[in-house]
Amino acid sequence: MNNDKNNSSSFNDLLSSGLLAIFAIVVMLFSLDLEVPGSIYTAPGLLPFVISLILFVLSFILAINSFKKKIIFNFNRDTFSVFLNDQNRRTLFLLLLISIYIFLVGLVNFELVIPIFTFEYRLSSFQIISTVMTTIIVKNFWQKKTLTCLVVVFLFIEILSAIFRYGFGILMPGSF
Amino acid sequence: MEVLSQIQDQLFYIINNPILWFACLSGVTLGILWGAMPGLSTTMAMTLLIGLTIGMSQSVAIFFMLGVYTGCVFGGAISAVLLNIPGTPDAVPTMIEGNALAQKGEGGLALGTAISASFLGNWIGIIFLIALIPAILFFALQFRSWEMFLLSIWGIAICGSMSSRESPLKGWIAGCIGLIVSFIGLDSIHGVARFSFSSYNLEDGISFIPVLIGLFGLTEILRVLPQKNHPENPSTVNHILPSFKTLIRYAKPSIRSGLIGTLVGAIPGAGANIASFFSYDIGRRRANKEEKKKWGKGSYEAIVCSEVANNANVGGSMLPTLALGIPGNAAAAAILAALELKNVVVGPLIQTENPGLIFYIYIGLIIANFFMYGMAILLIKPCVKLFNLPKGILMPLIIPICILGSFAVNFNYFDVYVMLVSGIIGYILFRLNFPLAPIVLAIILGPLADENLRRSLLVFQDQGFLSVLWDRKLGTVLLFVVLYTFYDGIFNSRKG
Repeated sequence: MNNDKNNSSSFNDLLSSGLLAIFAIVVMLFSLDLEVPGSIYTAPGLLPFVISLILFVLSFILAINSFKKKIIFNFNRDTFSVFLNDQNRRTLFLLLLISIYIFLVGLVNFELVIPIFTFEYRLSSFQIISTVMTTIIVKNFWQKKTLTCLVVVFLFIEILSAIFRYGFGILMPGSF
Repeated sequence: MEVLSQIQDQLFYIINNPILWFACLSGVTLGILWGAMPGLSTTMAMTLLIGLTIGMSQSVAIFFMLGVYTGCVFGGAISAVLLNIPGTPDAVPTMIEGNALAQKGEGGLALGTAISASFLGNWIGIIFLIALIPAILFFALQFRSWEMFLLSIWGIAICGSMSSRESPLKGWIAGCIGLIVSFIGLDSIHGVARFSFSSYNLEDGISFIPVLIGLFGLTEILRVLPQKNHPENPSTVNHILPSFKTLIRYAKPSIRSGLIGTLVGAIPGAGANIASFFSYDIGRRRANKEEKKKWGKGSYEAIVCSEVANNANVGGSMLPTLALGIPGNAAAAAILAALELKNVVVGPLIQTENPGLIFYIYIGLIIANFFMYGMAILLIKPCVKLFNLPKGILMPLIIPICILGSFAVNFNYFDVYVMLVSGIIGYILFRLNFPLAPIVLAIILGPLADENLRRSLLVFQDQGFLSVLWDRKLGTVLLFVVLYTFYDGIFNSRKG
């Protein structure tokens, strides 16, 4: 069991060191490509180049350390099945919901102004999308009745919007 | 005598104006609530709430802003301890220790310790502010480009060493990633666009707030919410305030951390983030063997070191702000803006042009400190109860706060996408056992390091290396300290 954990950790280290090394090389190339308007000492790419070089060296050391653990990488179906376990599937599903939520708020922009006596109630696209998307997330992970989830989320979003809009004077995304 | 009479006049004025007390209390309460919201930083609070002071008189506005500043610096500790999401970047060390204690059912006492440490830190900052203005300013002004560069690198190196669970190597790698992200945008000397790929949004650079929210807020949501059995913190709040005996035990680290916080605060450009990490690192080195074992797994002494330093930083940052007109950090710059909005020009002539104002600000800080202590104690129990709601409901409700917090930085929705990407990268890095704190600190300190390195190289271009070492003694000391931090990280981790 412990060996499996070490194996997985070493594999992760080796994988991340490879990716980091590639990233560092790309940054180095881009840094060299930057124009140098004045002296070489004030070149905009100077520190980015030095830091990416350091990153490359550090990722190389990380790779050596993962080899030093002397664990033979034993890839079989179980090694990769770890990536598709139930919790990871739930994480991916949650990430998908959050991404849809964020992209929707970015795409849909409107604000309704509803006069209630002398007060103007403002309902922005952010409030509506947040209520719907957060209810879906809460329903999936809290597992209570849909109506309960909706009421809790609606009240929370309204209070939050009121605090930001009237308390802190911050506009909602999509408001104008 | 003149000084005493000025202090007396200010005291009478404040006592006879209850509106000032109310403004300060409102500022403190707003500040604590703001700081407690994941990712809403002190600087953001100060800049956005300046708008509320437009209708206020000069004296009321100053008290309100001082209240916000004091409250916000502490507020970051609340969500850090109870949610494992730091309200402000300087609360990251408190998060590491406090959340570990909250999981053991000691969240109340962890917060109580943070409050007492914050109260103490503010006092130390104020006392140093009053007593040591000339000495601290002399020291702070020795920091030029070369020293500022080394200070920034030291901060990132320490943060990398301290926050990595395995070896400092991964912390330093995280620091390098953060530095590279900080270079995105127009460079500060020539205005050359770096790594922006012709995108206007990227040319503005990556703000650290959305990254902070993504790395700590979204990553925590992605980590906790999909678990079938959510880890619940015990909701009982037994002790809140540490005993007097405990406080006496932490007197030495408190004074040391207070001095670090004030000194770092007095250095223009170095903020509470550096102060809390420095103090946290030095605290670990100075702790006894038994205490050292608890470091990273829930140490009260560590919370004291971090909280005293970041609160003493408030007083420290006011030093160059008031005496030289150079803000100690971004939040102090907002105080400066609020003062200028009320036609107060700070700087070397402050005492001549606005006699007594400096004492008025000292007294304001003292009152704000008392209000912060009282309000924080009142808010602990409801906060513990609130943040102990089932994670299945609590975590999804944080998502809209993360969106609003990221959006509110520049009112640009691009920052929300930055938050999303940071959250995804943060989650992957978390799974690969990389610490996240050095990334945020590096993004904050990266521009400072970059600009100051290039400036100092330009200054030193005709000098030999040895003459630089000899001429810039403070820089030389700092250089050796940075090298020692790397040496210590490599060899101590091998021993471990």
